[in-house]
Amino acid sequence: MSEASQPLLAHRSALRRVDWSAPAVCAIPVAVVAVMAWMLGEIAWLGADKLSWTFLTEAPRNAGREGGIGPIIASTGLIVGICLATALPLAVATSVLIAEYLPAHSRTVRVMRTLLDVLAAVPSIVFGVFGYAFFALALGFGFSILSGGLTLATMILPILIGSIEQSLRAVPLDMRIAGAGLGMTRPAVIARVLLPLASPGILAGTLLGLGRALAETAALVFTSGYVARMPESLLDSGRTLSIHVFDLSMNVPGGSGPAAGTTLLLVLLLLVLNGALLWLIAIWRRRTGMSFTLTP
Amino acid sequence: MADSHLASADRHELHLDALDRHPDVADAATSPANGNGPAAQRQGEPVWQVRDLNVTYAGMAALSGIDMDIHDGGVTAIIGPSGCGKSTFLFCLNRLSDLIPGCRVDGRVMLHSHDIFSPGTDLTALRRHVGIIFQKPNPFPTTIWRNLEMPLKQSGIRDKAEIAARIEECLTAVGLWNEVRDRLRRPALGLSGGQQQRLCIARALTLRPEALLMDEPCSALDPIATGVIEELIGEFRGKYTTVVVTHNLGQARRIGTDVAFFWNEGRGGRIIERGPVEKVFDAPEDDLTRLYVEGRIA
Repeated sequence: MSEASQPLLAHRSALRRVDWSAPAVCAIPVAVVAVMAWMLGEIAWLGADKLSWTFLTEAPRNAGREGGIGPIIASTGLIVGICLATALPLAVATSVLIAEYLPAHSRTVRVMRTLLDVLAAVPSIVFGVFGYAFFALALGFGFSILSGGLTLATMILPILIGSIEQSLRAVPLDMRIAGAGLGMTRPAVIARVLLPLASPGILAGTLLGLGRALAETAALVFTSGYVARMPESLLDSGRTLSIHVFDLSMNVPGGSGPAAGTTLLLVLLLLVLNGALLWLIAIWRRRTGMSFTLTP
Repeated sequence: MADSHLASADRHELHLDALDRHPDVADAATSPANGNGPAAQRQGEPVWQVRDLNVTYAGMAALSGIDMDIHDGGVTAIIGPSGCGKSTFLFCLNRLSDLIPGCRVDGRVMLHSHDIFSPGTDLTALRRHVGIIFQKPNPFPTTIWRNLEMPLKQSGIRDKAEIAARIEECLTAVGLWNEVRDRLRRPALGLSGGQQQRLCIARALTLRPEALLMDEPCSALDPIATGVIEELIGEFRGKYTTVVVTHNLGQARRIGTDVAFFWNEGRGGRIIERGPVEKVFDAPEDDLTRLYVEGRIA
């Protein structure tokens, strides 16, 4: 009995002191949100008056101080498009191999996962140098949208594989057994049952990769270059939104207005993409009748 | 439900051919019947002959020395306490045991004199030929329609009218057609547990199997849904060869034509007694069986 009453007494004495833990815990998220709000607010404040139809469609003039960002939006779209078109199929194939075909604790899987983790942590400038040496020089694509897109693809591949593999593994064993029990072949179970079930995870991973690709500058300076003209082919150099922001703020005195406008566009783009993700997941839930998603 | 395809006396040969040569058993099963004899006459012909079956999980014995015949058109109830290898036995009948990590199977499981554990057995054909229903209803998280359409399409049936006809036929067979005909394009997970389980049975029936394996098909259901499923299994007598694992003795007695009592003394589950349901329940030969069916041991 006496042993039991000991902690109770200690607790009572603790109650007499003022407890600051709750306000402290609350202050942390408030501070984080405040910093975020300040950043977004400043971007919106500085960039809002720049955003107009002419700004979005016209070519930049006077090193970007005047005119718009039409060609830059086009180059960004092409580079990100190439990046996803290359990375997504490769990532799905690799994840299926790791999650469904190779034994979970095999040496091969361990080695692959370690390599992928290392790749995910490699600074993007290293991917830039690799892209320059491999895609631009060795394969002869030069400073081009193609080189840039492929370099970004190698960069986001580990992120995509990680999240797709996790969501495949999250699909219950039930579903695999149900498929096999109906005489479905393994590839059929993967294509018809597992991948559709894992699609919210695939979408979330894609968005994560897309976000990194859109934000990238270092890897692209070496590969897609920063020519701000409207690209005529995939072998032309092209400048992305992030590189444009970087160039305007670092190299162009008086370029902060268009830089803020471009940044605002980037932020809006990411918000729209996140909204689209939530919308797609809502559709998926309605179609499947699942109340939860199998995202990692 | 029309089951002319099942009344074919030479279907064993047909199916064996299918197992050996054709990846698509479903097509063989739809061949016209020649009408030699009703199902009752074939009662006694074993569909499965299991001989000296031993199963281990990562070295631990799960089943030892199982010998058993499973008869055509009957409902064989597998009873016994938890951990006696009932489900393991069921999984060996269509080689879903292959999917369980660490599971090793020795012995022979003959399906119409074809050893299904022999190399080169077409697992896809085998599993289309022998449907399986699990304890927890496991419809795919998609629409009711796509749940039923998927196995059909996978088995190579492309004709839309044929698919629609089979889906209606199978939903009718499980008594679900009138309940879901207006919501076929809605998620299967929106159905109640009992409806989901009947959907899973219908899904297995779309492939026109010869046999159905059921692993405690009612244990996740309420009493009313259980009654519906039991009635359904009763209707399967003579149409399908059914093997039902259950730990509900009353259920085994109500639905079974044959019973096998499994027991595990620590060296892997083995069969203590098997035979017609009346004999095992009312005049058991083994004392252990008598104590178990009287509910005095569990």
